[in-house]
Amino acid sequence: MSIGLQINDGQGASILDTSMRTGRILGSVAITGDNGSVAVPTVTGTPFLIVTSWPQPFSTGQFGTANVWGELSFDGTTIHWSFGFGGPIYGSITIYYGSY
Amino acid sequence: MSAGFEVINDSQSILIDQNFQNLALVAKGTISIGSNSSPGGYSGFTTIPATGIPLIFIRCAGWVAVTGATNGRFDWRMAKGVTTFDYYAFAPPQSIGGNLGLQVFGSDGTLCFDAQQKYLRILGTMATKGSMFFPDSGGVGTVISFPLPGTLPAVCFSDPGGQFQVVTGSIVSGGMTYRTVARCGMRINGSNLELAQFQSLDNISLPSGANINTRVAASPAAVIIADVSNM
Repeated sequence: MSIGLQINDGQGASILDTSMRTGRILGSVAITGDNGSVAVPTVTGTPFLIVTSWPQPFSTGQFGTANVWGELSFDGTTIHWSFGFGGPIYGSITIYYGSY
Repeated sequence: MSAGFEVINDSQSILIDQNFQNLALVAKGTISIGSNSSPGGYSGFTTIPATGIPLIFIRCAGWVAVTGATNGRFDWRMAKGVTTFDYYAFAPPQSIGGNLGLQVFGSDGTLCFDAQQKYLRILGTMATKGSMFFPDSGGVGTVISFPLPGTLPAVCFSDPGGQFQVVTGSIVSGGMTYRTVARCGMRINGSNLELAQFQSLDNISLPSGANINTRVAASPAAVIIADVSNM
């Protein structure tokens, strides 16, 4: 790196510099309804989404449980979601969004 | 920004500011178990410093799934035969004291950046969304492969993916029901990321009068890839 910020540790090893891309969580949305979308403050940089956990599996009686899951996308301004299976009846999900 | 501290990286993204916390390495380690011979594999959880929602990146040679993560812990499952994987947990930085190097605080006193800690270095994201196949006989399903960048990449799923079977038959109450018997896992094979569904229940056989009518499985929508060299 020839210009910009460079942060080194006490041994001189680089911790961070302006050639790197570090991720930050910028917010979250709780999804309790069926398929839909929600606008979020415009994200600078490359957006990403994280769902760290689906809702708890729901009982299907005879043969145990089934897991809820959904499909997500994010264009930097709007998060879209649809429940692939099981939702929203069996629980809500929290979607975290960020950028790097 | 009218006042404060802001660093923009070469890609024109904000690297550091006082509005949002950076994601610091709050824990790393190798999870190892003695043996893993059950058909459904072995599951457990690991506690980590509770500084906020973590992103869990892993490196593994065998099939492993991070099945959930909350503030202070994450849950995992290893497929049958797998006994170890490496993890790197990134979350808002810890207050570790000291006053060495750059520190950035939010207006409410939240620690946003502390140069005494190491930070997430993202190599990129990769779309991995797609249908997957898990066989009725169990084990490991069809493997899908993606090239990985970097020399020591670790991977975090955008979501855990999913799997279910539709079960029908004369003994099935109501004529139809569902069950989940597999998890979407990952492994790193050379310079490739491989994804597959692996069995997560010990006994997946069905009694007479019940049969699998439909099979559905999906990979995560995307993965985030981080450089964990020198972490």
